[in-house]
Amino acid sequence: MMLLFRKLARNWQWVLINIVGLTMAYACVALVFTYTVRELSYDDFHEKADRIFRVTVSTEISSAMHPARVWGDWIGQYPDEYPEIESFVRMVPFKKGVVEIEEQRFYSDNLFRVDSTFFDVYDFELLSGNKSKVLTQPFEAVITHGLALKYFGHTDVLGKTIDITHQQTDTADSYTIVGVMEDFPPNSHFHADILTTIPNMVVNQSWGYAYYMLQPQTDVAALQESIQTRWDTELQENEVPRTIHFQALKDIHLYSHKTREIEPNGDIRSLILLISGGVIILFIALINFLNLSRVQFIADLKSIQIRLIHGASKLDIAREIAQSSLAISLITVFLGVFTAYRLSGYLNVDVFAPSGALVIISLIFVVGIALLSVFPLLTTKVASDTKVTTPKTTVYGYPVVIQFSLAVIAITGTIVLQRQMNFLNNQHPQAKNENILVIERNSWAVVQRYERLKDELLKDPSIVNMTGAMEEPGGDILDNFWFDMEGIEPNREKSLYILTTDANFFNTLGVKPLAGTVDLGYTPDHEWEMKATELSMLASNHSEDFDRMNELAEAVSDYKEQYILNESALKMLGIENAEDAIGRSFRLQFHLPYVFPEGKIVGVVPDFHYTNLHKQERPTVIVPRKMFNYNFLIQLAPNRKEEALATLHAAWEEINPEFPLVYGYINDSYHKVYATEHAQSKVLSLFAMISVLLSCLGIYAIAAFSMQRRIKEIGVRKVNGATIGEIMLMLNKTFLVWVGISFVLAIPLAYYAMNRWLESFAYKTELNWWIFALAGLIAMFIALLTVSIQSYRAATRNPVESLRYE
Amino acid sequence: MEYMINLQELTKSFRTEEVETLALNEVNLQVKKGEFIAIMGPSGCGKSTLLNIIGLLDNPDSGSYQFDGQEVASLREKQRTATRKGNIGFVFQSFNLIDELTVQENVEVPLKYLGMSTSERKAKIDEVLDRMKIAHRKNHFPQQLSGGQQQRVAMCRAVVAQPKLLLADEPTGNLDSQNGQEVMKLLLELNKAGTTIVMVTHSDYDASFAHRVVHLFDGKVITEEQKRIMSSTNPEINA
Repeated sequence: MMLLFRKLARNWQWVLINIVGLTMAYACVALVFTYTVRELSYDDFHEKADRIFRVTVSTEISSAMHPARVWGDWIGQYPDEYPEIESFVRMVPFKKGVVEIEEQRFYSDNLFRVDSTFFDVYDFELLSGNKSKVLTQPFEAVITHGLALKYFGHTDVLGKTIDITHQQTDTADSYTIVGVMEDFPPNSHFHADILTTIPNMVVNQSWGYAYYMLQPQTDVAALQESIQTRWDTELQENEVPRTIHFQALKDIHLYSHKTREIEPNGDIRSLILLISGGVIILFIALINFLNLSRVQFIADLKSIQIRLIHGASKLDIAREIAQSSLAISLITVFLGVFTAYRLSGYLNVDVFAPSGALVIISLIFVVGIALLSVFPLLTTKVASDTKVTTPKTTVYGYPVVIQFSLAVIAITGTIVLQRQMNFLNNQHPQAKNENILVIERNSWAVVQRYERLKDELLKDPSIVNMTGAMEEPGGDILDNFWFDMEGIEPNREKSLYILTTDANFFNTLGVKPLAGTVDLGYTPDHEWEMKATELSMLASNHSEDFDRMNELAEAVSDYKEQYILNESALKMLGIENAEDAIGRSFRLQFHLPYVFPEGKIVGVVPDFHYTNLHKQERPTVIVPRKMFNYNFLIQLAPNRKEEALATLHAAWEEINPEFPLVYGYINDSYHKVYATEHAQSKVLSLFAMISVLLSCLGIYAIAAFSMQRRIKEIGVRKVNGATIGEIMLMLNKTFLVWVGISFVLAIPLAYYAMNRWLESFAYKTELNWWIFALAGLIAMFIALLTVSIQSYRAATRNPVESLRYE
Repeated sequence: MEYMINLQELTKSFRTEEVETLALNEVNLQVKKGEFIAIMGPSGCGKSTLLNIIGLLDNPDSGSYQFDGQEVASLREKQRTATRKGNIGFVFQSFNLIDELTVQENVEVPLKYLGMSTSERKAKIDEVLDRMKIAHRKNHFPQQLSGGQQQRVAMCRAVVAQPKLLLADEPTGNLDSQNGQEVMKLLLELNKAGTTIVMVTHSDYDASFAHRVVHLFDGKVITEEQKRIMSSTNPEINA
């Protein structure tokens, strides 16, 4: 023990480098492993997971649309017609519903109306309540254990009531609690707080998530094919062709990137990126360890030979070396667990969660390190006689080359990731404006009071402007309609996506028109909108209340609509010059025809990237209409935020007392959309830093060793007139050549990897040559600095001393 | 006649990329049990190669080597180690102590690989350190000792396992005359106690302690000189 301690103390520099490197590697492996296990385990806790499929429908008009939700009564009918479908469950979200429990009010995105089959299909445990009876009667609710504890303070809540206001209704409905279920585990692709019965009326008029549970051994492809054939044959003229998809439950989390996912999903590419990062660090640390073991071995050669001469076998020596490595690996495991625990917040994982994982990783580490430590002994022909073939310095070159190649790849990855994130951010209007506040996805009641709120807020000079939009910043625009436009042949294959906004939307966001104007002047108020809606309803119901209809028509007919197109729309329409579109008459084919009356194109704006950039910007028409603007954007006067927020709180409390005020800043909205990429970029930067640090430690150790071996040579050269500069150049040359080779090897790999990664973005930064050059220069600089510290020390030694020493 | 060492027609050559050097050329040599012989010759004559082969650190290319009656010329590394263990002790010119081990730990090295219990080892170490009068330094490290003391420790290590054969490669080469003489005295005592000794030396004076001097030149034994009266050339020993 004492001996071991002395040995470690004597080689403290090497030991420290090894411990730092291996600790990092251990922590990274533990973190990446835990994270990977969790990502791969999504939804696999349901016994029938392999038989459950999410049903989705894609359409192809203008651009591909593939929402995660579906619409239509066929979902409930097919199980009767196709015996392969054993059961089904639909989940219709309340969308930012307001829940009232015991006079406490809060928003929740985790409220769903579900079929009573929910607990047959899924294995979420019902802690109280009758599994076969819950959610069979109207206005029943099942809540989670956590929610019950939080709002009732206990779980004995059966029979109590809760009130829920849907985003699109004015009034609350009361539900009776008939069951308490366990909290959903983190690795479920959705998390519900409250489940309620679905009213029949709602089912057929709402978008919802639909899941089919199939009979065992069902041929999914054949079933899908048979439904598809049916759809294709029943397709009417004027209907858009649809494609049905069966998506395996367990594939949803890592492989699904549809619009309106039930929750943000993970991504298999991110996972692979992360695993690669972990593997790179592991390799670099192991290479360091192997190199240092070799250095150590050579330093110990004399003592090893003496032992061999005095009767030790190679096995005895190997055992002794492995024993001292055991000390290092135990320290490493201890520090590694601690580091992994401290860093676990980055990936939002619990490193102790997968049972036994850390024990297995630790065992592999200890055994692996022991094997690596004796590797130099096994690969060197060290006999008990005094001839030993000590390897040339080039043996150390290969690992350094691999190490630096990996470091260059990691540096390149970090630069590209960072640039892509900046690029995305810079594409969004006002994404960096700290003075724009967003109140997302308001309830219908709040939307109706938009003008009152706006008037009240603008009385205070600390609030500069307020506007509204159908979608939140970074959201998706998904509603699309056919249209009639002057000079454009009607074409069933072309439709335009619609974004309604307030009239001052573009001015607030600072978007300038390419042609025409975005200053719309007068746009209709809420009263007008209600009248147009009523008139549309009366007309489409063929009402005979002609007096009312005439009265309404009189009131709404004065207004001519002002439409604005984006650049993508122009491209789709085949109009080259933006000016050419201005003044053409235009009408949307909306099911409430008077809500979007005929009008003219008044402006063309660039693709202004209000929505997220994972997908190509859609051909969009922007219309000023307030009734669909569920999202409010408020521009505050710089430096007067506190005042403005006080005004907002007061006004909100007065106008919308029954709704909690929840707001964020516009940069948070975009940050949320790119949360995965931000997390990736953070983790990858960290990995790159670690890998560069470890590579430096490695090259530092090899340089130190190499200088030591050349002390005599340096002395002789100096005695014969070599200058410090010449000596340093001679010593540094080898290392620079190694780093140079790594650079050449790393570039194609880095280019390939980053190109693949960027493919997932519709809008991407360029892979400029200078990125690679910069990564190479950084690596070169760091390596040179590290080696020069050593070579300077060696070159400035008094040659007499070194010669005497030798 | 019982030989500890019996070499017949022993040949060993070394090959580098360009030249082949014949280090030992059909060497015949017999050493009786309990004998003390000195091997002399100019640098490069093959002394160290011969010592390495005798010490089972290396194999000859051809010829026969019987160690204590057993043919060992073509043993493999593992078998050589096993045969060497506890049977052969080594003393070197440069002492070859392990820097990071204390005196007693250095002496312990050969015992460790014999699988002795700790208490048994400790008794043997204490005994040999006492005998060699270095016990007071047992917790020191080699670099804290004088050259003479270091060589004494090396000798302790060489004999602690009570080997049948002790090989000494210029044991006084790095010592001043007084310390050198001490070492030779110790060797003589060990020999008197029954240990067979083969010593390589450049020093006629050291060689005069041996029963017999073997001269090597260009890998061949050229003369053997029997010392009849040791004390006549070394009055100090008996004084």
